[in-house]
Amino acid sequence: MSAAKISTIRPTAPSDSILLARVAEGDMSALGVLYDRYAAALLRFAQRVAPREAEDVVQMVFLRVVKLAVTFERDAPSARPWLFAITSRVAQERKRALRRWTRALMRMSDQPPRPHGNPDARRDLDRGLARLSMDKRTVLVLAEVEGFAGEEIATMLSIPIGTVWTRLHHARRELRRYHEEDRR
Amino acid sequence: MSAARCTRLWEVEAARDRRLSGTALGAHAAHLAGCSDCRRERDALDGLAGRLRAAESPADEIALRRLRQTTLERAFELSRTPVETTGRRFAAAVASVARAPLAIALAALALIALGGTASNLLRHARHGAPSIRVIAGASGATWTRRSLKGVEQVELGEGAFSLVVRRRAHDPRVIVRVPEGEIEDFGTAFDVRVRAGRTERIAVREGVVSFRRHGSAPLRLTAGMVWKAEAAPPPPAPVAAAPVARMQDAPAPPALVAPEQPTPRAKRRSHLSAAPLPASVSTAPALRGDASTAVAEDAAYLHVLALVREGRSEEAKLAAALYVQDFPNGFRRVEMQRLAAR
Repeated sequence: MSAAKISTIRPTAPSDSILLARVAEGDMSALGVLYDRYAAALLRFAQRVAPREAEDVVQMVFLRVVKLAVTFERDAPSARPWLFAITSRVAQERKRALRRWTRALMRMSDQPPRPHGNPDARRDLDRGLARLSMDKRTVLVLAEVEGFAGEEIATMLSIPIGTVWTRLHHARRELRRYHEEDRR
Repeated sequence: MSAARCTRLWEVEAARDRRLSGTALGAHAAHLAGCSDCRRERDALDGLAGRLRAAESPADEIALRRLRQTTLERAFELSRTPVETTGRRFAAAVASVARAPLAIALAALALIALGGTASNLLRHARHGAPSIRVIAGASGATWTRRSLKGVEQVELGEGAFSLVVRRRAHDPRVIVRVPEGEIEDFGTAFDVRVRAGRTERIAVREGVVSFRRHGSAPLRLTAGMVWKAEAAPPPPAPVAAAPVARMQDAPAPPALVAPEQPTPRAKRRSHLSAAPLPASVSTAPALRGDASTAVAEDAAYLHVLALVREGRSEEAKLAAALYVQDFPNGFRRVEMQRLAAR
């Protein structure tokens, strides 16, 4: 074998679209590679938007990936926005389901609903975030922590760009107001 | 009562969200330099974003690993649930209109118009494509699959691969492309290692393959046979300094087709069972030397699951025992120990 031929072939990490094509063909080891690539970031995001069930959300995301892999655009440079979009949708769905259950249980026990938010959250920021609605929290974390642009978030969440900016503005304002009140 | 604030405060957030561009952005930058209100607003927004990012705690590695196993297990089960393929949908559609001769005639005409004969398409609807499962040994290993002129082609890049092909008589041919040529698969399980643009090793665990190299006669490899590439020419050594003992460490023999020599791993197997293990039992043969990685552990675990699902319980027990040996701290060791002890 010629040396020239050897030098032209270099091992490279498979792209997200190659991995997803393999997942679509039933290769679950490719799903493992995708998991290693993105699970930590998705788990952190899920902990922000759905803290009580973040792990369930992430698991649901990767199971959904198995079914949706075939729909992933081959030309897309990265699966990151796509995975965050799925995570956001799954978190919203689970939150809605949980809310329905909680209301039903409250009605059964005749107890007033507990205030919105995570009572166990220790840090100010977490408490402040927990007071935001899930829609606002999702947009805020995607923009400020994950660094997605407004247009990307609009595509991911299937909402108009104006809605993204409005939610972002209100989320910031509410969070700042909460911290100012907390300091007094 | 608070003092009046700058009326252009909104621009700070707009600039941050990349809603301003061109001259508007330039004007905002100029304004910012002289407006303390806007600078305070910018600092407050920056501070908020900074606190949000700083509060990000590193992901819990243990939780991630645990989640990885359960996710892959469930994904594996999900991937094995039958999905409605195009072929099946077509067959179901044909069945649903079977009582309407006119509809059948129209469907047949439409099929012919599409360029294939109705019988061929019906045959494909019945038989579908062969099942090809490729396990890559490491995350850097690459491969692609495509259908070309009625042949299912798998092209292997760099890395170690384990392939399991289930193919029925009427299924399309399966060709695995490697740098030197191609391997025709007749329905087998085999491992291939490709490194630096050359095929290093082919080990057949089940069935038969035909290895066709450019400029060489085809080789027929059956279960238990291993083909190894000729060793690369050794670098020139100083002749005078070569000690006699080195002569015994001769380079590997040229290409050969022979049963695989027992490896330390194979010797370990003999402690697990008095009878020789079938070659297909290995946990993840393509992953030797890579056993510490999560990918290897996944592959080993998925392999055991596949054997269980196929009803090959004895092989599954032995594969589970190998998993326990290879991954004594694996996340599935308890489950594997239980399975091995059955």
